[in-house]
Amino acid sequence: MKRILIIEDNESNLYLTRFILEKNGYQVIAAREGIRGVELAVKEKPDLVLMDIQLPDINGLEAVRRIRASKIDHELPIVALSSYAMVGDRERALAAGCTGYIEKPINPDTFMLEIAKFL
Amino acid sequence: MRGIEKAVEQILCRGLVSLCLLLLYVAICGAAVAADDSMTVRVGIYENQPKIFTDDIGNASGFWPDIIGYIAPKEGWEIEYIHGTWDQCLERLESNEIDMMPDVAYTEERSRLYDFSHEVVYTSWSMVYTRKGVDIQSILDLEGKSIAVLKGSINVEGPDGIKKLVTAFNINCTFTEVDSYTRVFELVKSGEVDAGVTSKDFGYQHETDFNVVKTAIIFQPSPLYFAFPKNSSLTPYLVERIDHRMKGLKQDYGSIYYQSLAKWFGEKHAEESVIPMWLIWALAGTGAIILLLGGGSWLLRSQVRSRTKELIAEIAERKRAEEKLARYRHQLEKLVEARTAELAAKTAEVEKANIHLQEMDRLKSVFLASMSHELRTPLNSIIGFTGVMLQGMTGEVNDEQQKQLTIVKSNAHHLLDLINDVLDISKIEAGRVELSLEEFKLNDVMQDVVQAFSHMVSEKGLRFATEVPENGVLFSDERRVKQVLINLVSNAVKFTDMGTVKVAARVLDGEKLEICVSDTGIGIKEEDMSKLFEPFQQVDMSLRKRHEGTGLGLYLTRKLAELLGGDISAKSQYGQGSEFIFTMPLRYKHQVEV
Repeated sequence: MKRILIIEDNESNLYLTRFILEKNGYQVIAAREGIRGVELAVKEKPDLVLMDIQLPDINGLEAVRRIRASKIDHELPIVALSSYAMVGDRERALAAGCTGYIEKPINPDTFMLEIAKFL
Repeated sequence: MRGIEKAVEQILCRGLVSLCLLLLYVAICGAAVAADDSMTVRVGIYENQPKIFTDDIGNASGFWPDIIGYIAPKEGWEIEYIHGTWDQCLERLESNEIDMMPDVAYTEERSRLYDFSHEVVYTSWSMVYTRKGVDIQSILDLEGKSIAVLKGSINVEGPDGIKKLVTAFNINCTFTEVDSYTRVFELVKSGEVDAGVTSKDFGYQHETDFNVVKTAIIFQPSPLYFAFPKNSSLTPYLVERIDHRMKGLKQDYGSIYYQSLAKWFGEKHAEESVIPMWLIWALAGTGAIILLLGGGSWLLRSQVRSRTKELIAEIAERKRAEEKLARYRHQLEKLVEARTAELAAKTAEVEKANIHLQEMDRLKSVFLASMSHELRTPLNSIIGFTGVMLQGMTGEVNDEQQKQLTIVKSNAHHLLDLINDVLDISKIEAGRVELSLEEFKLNDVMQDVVQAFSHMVSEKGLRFATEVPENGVLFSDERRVKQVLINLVSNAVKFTDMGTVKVAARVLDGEKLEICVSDTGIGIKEEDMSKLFEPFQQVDMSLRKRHEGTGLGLYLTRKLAELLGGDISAKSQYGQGSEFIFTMPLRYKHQVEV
């Protein structure tokens, strides 16, 4: 069973994402802060990371950089899941080391298809 | 006096023979008079009115004929007037063709040619006349002028004549010699000469007839006498009789002499006074001239004084005016300076305000971006959970739950559209939109658009037509072009219940693409056309119930069109349909980037 790490500070959104992923047969690990997320990513070695950008301690971009700076598998897919929809947000995320970028609000009908592309 | 001297001279010259002859003449004449009551005396006559002239019916007339006419019957003379010019008369006198010539001024030269009576009959003055418009005031003004004169006249050739006069003043002028004073005036009148010399008496009579005017040049007082031929036996007799009669006439103030003077010259002559009248006149004239000169001088001086005063006043006035002008200029310069400073301050203010506005604009965009983010986060949960529940992931949903969840979903999506539009606009207005430029086929874009609406169009039973030029290639931002077209077609479909929605594209001038999106829908009222592209101005508020829209669609669409270097305009016939025309360059040019 594939394991997905969700780094998300908003309880409702974490609950939603976790619910959809678990319903679709994935194992979910969650972190509510950036630093904690980086620790789990390194320690738990998930198959995919869903990264919110706005977090209470370090932001998602910084967290991605730290994960990428660690000794874990450089192939680990990290997908940004953000409400930031300004021009450059996607580019900044990719430049920081993200593999993909999904805009919130998610489309429940297509969300799993998008996730599947990165696994 | 002159007469006596002359007589003595004659006696001395001619000697006793002459004396004997004289006595003989007297005796013969006396006998003749006694024998025949009438003897013919030939008298020369020329035209010099009023002194002597031929009247309208051919009779001799004037002052001299009056005197002659008085004397002749007293002496028993038959007078035969021989008409001629002045020159002819003098010639005839010399050659003894006439016995007597009146109106002859005495000169040394003439005294050698003719004998003269002793009594002065009349004193004539001469005068220079001119015509109006010729400026001759004094003798000096004759310089360079042409002057008509009577040929052989004493006032021309005499010692005080005009010729001597101008020579004395060193004046050069030309003379035209004519046969009569009448001719003199004719020449003056006709302009053939500048001036003319006549006797004052002739001028007095005729100046108005010839329209000539007096000048101040009056000269040559000439005592006039009767003249007689030297070689005539009648002469001594005639001289004696004439002198005798003249004496008598001059002594009697009621005589024909004074009557005739009054009649012809309009003044009382006073040849008999101790001081001759002409001298009195001359003195009076001189006095008057002195007075005039003195007065003139005083007048001139006072004029100069007053003019000087005026000039000083004028200079002072001008100086004041200049100072005033300088003050005004100074004030004006100050004013201009002040206004310029004000303007500079205003400009700075405006610039400051402009910067402030730009900052406000930026802040607004930042604010909208933040708002967008904050709104999207809860919306993610709403849309996500609704979707999850509608998919049945949380268990079976009944029909009512399905219906209500669909309403939540629909409203959540509307809210999302609104947020997206606001975000797009804020991005464009903040100048933070980066176009992704590339070459693409217009056909591909059109196909995507058709596909996006095919379901909705067929559901509403509309016809969807497209006209696209083949091989149309654009260099622009494909996603934005598509966004514009989708917005326009979306509106067309939304507001059309039956008929056709048509998208027709064509290339203009090889540089521009024009895409017309027309429909057969409800159309737009004339008064709403201007509000069409304003934000939150869905024209017919009642339509909002049926056709949900963000109210930002056309506003954003125009912004996008402008972003692409193009524009959008609209035409509509209310109730019959609308037409939106989107033009854009085939190839995007960077200088028009927003």
